[in-house]
Amino acid sequence: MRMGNHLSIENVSFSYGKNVVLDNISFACRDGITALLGNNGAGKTTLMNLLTGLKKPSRGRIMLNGIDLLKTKPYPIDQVGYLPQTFDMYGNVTGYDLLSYVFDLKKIKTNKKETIDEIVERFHLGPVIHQRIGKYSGGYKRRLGIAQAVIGKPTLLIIDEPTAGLDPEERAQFRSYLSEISNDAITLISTHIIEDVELYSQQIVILKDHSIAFNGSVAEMIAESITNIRTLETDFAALMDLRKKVTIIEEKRLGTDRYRIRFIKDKQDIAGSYQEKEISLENAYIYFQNR
Amino acid sequence: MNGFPTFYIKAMIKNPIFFIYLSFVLFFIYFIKDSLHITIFRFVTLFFHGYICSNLFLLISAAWVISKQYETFVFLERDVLKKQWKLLFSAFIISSVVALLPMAAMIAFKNPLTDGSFLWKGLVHFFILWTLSNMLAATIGTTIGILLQHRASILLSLLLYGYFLWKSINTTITYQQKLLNIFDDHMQVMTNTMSGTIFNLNYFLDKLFLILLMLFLLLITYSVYRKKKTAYILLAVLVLLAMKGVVIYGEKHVQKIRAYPTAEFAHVPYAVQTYKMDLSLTNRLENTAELEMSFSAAGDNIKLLLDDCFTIDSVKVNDSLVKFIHKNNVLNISASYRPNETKKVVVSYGGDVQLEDELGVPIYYVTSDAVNLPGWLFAWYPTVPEPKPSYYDVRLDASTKIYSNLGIFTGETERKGETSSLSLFAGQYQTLKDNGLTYILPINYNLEDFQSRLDLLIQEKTKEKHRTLTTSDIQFLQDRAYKTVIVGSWPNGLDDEGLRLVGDTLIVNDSNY
Repeated sequence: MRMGNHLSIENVSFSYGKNVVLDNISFACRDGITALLGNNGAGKTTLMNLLTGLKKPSRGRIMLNGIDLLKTKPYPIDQVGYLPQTFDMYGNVTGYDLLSYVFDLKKIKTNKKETIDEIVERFHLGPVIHQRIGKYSGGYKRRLGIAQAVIGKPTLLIIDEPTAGLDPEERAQFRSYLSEISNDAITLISTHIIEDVELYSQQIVILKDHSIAFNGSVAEMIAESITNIRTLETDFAALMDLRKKVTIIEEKRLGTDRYRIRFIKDKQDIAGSYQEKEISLENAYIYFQNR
Repeated sequence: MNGFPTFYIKAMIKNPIFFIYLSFVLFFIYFIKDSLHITIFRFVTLFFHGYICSNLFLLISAAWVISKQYETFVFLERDVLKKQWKLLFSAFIISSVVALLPMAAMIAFKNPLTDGSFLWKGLVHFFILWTLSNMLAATIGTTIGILLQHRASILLSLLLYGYFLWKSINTTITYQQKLLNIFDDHMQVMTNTMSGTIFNLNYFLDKLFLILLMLFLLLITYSVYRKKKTAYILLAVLVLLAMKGVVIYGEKHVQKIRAYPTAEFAHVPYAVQTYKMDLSLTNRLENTAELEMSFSAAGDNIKLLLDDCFTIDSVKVNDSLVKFIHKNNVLNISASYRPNETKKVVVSYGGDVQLEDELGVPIYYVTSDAVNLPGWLFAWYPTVPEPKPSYYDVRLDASTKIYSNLGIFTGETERKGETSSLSLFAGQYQTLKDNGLTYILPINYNLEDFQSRLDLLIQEKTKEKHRTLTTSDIQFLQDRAYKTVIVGSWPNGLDDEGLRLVGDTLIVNDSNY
């Protein structure tokens, strides 16, 4: 039986001088996709930088399959793949040149041509692989980005905003790539696109105010938030009044002077409000950000 | 292949600038290829714009590639200094491959009289100049690129390179300024055709200075990016001191022409009757000179001219070792003599002969394939100024063919004859015969052209008011009574005649042409 991979982030803190960016973060994840959510400034990028070894935590450790990732010298780039949010590259080299170079840098032991050919086929890069990267569309560039990250079959994949800037068709395609590659690797994705998270994530970690606000599955996230979210249909005057009293997480205009709102339940219930059977993941996310 | 920087080579050359660069290199080759008919070394010095073009390409492309901070590579290539070395290696490979173009042209269009050893010398000299200037440009580009990590690094790199370029195109004569010349000391001046470039101490120090300069730039990046900052700063300071050391050592040891104190010899009561020499010319000169001297008055000191570039092993007078002092190009021998006495003086000495003028052009030299020893100007053997004719018996062992006013020496040869001075020449020469005369001329000379210029020069000498040539000399020249003509090299300031008649050999200064 395959044991699978295991990543644990243990009591990790990071500060810029007196400015605390991450405060005693701990969570663990296994093979599959773990989505890292959080508002701007929550510390997602810093956590990514710690995982990639580009920054060092002031406290704590990051263990990958029992090995302290940050104490391993040199940093094991053969075990970790990284796709930054802005994947940019020298426009005058070809995709093949890049994959070939990354293969060399990671010191992969397999046959170079066969490995690259397999990756090219897997990510449908065939039509452009020998073209200059400067000529690539956004979609092809993103595919090349993920291709270079997965070359050598790393156990941990760190992907920052994988579908940002892609059109819906490309996003769908990219999601399927991510689902496929996450079968054998811990795939940690930082994203703002909740829709994507709902479709492919096994685990969600929400960062808020430099700490973890939630760590669990999509179902657990919805289950935990649904009991605290209420729905109410109201008119404009009452809506204006409610805005001052509760945290509204969704507003929808139903018709002339009719609105349906979702808000976080306070101690006192508001007359006419009710708990719905289903809420969106976005509602749940906003709940965790505002509770 | 792991370790070979294919990726960065491609990143540097897969752009239009590379093709513009190649086009310029080809254009410059085409533009100056005729200079190869003079000598391969003339081409090397005239290819100045080709070096600049290549330097600029490597500087800009290296600065551009290293200043790009792509996140993927920040993750994969954590050691920015390793990346710098990869780029420098890439620059070296590009530089070496492109160098094949001018080098192929040098081989294809060379003067057919170019000897194999001079061809190799020319190619090596070109490759050294090309590679070192290119590597300095790439080092400047990568260093500033790493430090700034911004596009502006290209501009700043260009400014720093511009400083060295400015130092290189301004012909300066101070030693330190010449070391800052990233090409060759005499890039824009006519150099010595017969000797070509001489790989002497000055050449070595010049290139060492450039390597130290590159090392200094690299240590700056190390002191910024490595943990042991203080150690690297100290190393950088040491390199700076070494550069200063090169300047001091060079100023002290590079051989320069100095005027001989001929006035001290105005009334010496002796003359050399015969010379017997056992001479060896390889990359240095070794000689045992046996002088039979006659004396017309009593004295206790024999004073002879002998250049300071030589170190004297021993001096014997009548087979007994005697004390001597050798300084300011004068050899003072402690020996007493009486009128009408003759003494046998044996001086054993040796040394490197690598004298240059202020611009770094070789003047008097001895290498394995080039020799220029005009005996009446350069005291390469113990002599007195303006000597009377003596009998010479010279056994010479040389690694190349030596032309002299006593005849030609090949391998180990002995030549004898009477002459006022012995001059030896070797290098890129051709031997031509015309009307019973032998002309030993540099390989780029045309005989007819040379003859008409020589006639013109002799005509000028006849008209000159303060000429040093005697009437019989002029007549001798006008009658073309000389048997051999050899072109040598000496500074105009030392002998304004431009030609010298030594017995039946006419020696003409190359700088007249």
